[in-house]
Amino acid sequence: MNTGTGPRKRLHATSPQTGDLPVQAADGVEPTMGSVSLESSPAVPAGDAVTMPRGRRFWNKMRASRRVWGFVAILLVFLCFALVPALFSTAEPLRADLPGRLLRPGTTSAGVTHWLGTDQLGRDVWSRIVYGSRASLTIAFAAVFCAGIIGSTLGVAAGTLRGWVGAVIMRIADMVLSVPFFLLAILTVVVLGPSLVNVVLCLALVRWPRYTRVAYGQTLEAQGREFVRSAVAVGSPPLWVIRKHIIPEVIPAIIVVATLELGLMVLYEASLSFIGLGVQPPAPSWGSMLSDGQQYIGTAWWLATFPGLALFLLVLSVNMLGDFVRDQLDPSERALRS
Amino acid sequence: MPEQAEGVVADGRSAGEAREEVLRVEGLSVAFGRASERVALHDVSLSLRAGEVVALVGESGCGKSLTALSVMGLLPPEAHVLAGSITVCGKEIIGTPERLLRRYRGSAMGMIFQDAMVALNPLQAVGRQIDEALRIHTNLGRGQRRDKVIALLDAVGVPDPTNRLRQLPHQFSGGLRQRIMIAMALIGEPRLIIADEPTTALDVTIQAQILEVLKDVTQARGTAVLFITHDMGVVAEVADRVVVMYGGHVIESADVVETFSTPAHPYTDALLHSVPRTDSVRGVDLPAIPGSVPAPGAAPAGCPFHPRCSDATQECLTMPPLEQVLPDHDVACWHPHTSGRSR
Ligand SMILES: Nc1ncnc2c1ncn2[C@@H]1O[C@H](COP(=O)(O)OP(=O)(O)OP(=O)(O)O)[C@@H](O)[C@H]1O
Ligand SMILES: [Mg+2]
Repeated sequence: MNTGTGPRKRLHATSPQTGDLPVQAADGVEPTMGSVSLESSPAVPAGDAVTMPRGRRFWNKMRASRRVWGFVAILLVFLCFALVPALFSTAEPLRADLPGRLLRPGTTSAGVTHWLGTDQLGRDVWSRIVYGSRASLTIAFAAVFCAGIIGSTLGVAAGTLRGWVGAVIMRIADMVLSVPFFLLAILTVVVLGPSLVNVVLCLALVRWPRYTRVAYGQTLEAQGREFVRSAVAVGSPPLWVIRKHIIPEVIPAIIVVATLELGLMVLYEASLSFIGLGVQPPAPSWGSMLSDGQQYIGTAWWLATFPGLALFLLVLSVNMLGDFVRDQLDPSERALRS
Repeated sequence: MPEQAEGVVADGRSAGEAREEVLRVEGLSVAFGRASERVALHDVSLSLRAGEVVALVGESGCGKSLTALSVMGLLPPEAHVLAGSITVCGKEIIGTPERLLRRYRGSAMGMIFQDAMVALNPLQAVGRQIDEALRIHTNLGRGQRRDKVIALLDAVGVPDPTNRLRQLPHQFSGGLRQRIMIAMALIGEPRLIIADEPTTALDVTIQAQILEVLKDVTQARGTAVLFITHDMGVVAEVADRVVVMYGGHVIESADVVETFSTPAHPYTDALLHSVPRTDSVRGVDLPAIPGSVPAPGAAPAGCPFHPRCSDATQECLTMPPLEQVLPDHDVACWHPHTSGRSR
């Protein structure tokens, strides 16, 4: 998982535009100079998978795939939980009620039905899961965003500058990727102290090389492409070339990596919280709920089971969505678009 | 109309000497390798005047593209210029900082690439791509730039340019894409255009149309064209003058008519005889030149062609200088073919 060979292999399997490009649909004889042409509209029939804009093709595929919709629905539910938890929770997630501790799922106490039971302090498990999704998704998205920005910038820079600057960036990236995640994570959090911001920082610090490697590879590939050379040949300054021609080539691959990373970040946040380095109690987090619940696994199974289930569902749906996006935006397939 | 065309040609011929020199390459040597041990261009010299079309021909690997890239200031980082000078419109290219070269590219000299399929960005509307040079080199307003782009697209024969500006490259046929490439290179009104095998990716009928368009638009603007190809048929169609390269050397330089009628260098002669002619039975009389182009660094001593040359003598172990054999006809050979012997 850490080395991320999966998507990388696919990204590099891309043949650089040569080879088996589909022959343009026969749009016939070239118009001679000044003649009125019959081909004022795209000569290829609409709906052709090859010529359709990427966005529309993506959407069509998505509509066709029922399975993906299930996972999108799950993800949306969790997103709603995270955005407006008050709407879905049945009780105050932080309010302890010692007389009502460790109530079984479905028990009603003091006029509140605890659908998923209560924990060792009498807090409603369902409400804590709902509020916990906020911590989980906020951290995951923020971490992906930071790591993505830092990582892709460094990757494009390394691919553009090459030379020793590029080599140094890429070697550092390799080094960071080879250090075990928990070692680095524990070190960062211990040094910086546990807080929401620091968890994000720590995850970004650990994961940026994934994006760097992909962005580097895509940048090198784009620079070998003829259209970048033809832009240079009309005198485009380097930053212009990067902005107009290289970044659009890099972005799809980065989106694929980011989607795949999102699930991993949810897991990592839970892991950090599990060992007490993530979200700090009493704030609800799935990871800390799991670690609290494991002491009661024999007597109150619901404490660890439900947060675990939530974690499982969220990570599964994010990963399935990531796989789908990868299959759709994979540059090896994009080569088909001429 | 024909009168006018004739007038242009006649004018071009007679005023040829007086025309402004757009490109001068002098004694250019380029090498690869850590110790510059693989010399790919040896003492290359050529020049182009305004409105002139010069064909640069030679077998694969003889250094045509390398010469072109040197002129554009786009040599790969692993190539070193050993000696020589290149001036475009009087401005020196060799040793000029990249910042200045960027200003020349697209406005003093432009380049048309071989395969428009890949030389256009698939994600950008063609209008924007053509506009690029204008946005960089001029401070014209949006509307003015748009008008120029439309006028040029019209001139290169893209139908309905106003609407097609917004389309992506994949919505055009190969021939139209190459026209767009030509527009992209010409929009900044460079004095010199380098076309590196601009039609090899196209089929024959479309090839002819593209050549026609290229000739028309460059002639109308007095743009000099350095046309790289290994297709002698194309040379006959477009060129005013022919420069033949072999193994990194310029070995012959002459007027197109003279090149075809009285080639002086044995290699040029052989090259012309290897052109498939319509009257020949397929595969029967296409005399391939035996042997192959030497790789840089592996070149034989003296004239690089002598191992393949039927006229080679002991003398050929030293490189002959490029010398005038006839007015405006230079050749680098110890035993140049005279008009009597050719063909
Ligand atoms: N980047 C490079 N590194 C090393 N050698 C190179 C490089 N680029 C070109 N060469 C060598 O320089 C010589 C000239 O190459 P060039 O590309 O100019 O040939 P060409 O005449 O354009 O051939 P073609 O007709 O195939 O395009 C070749 O022998 C080639 O091997
Ligand atoms: Mg070439």
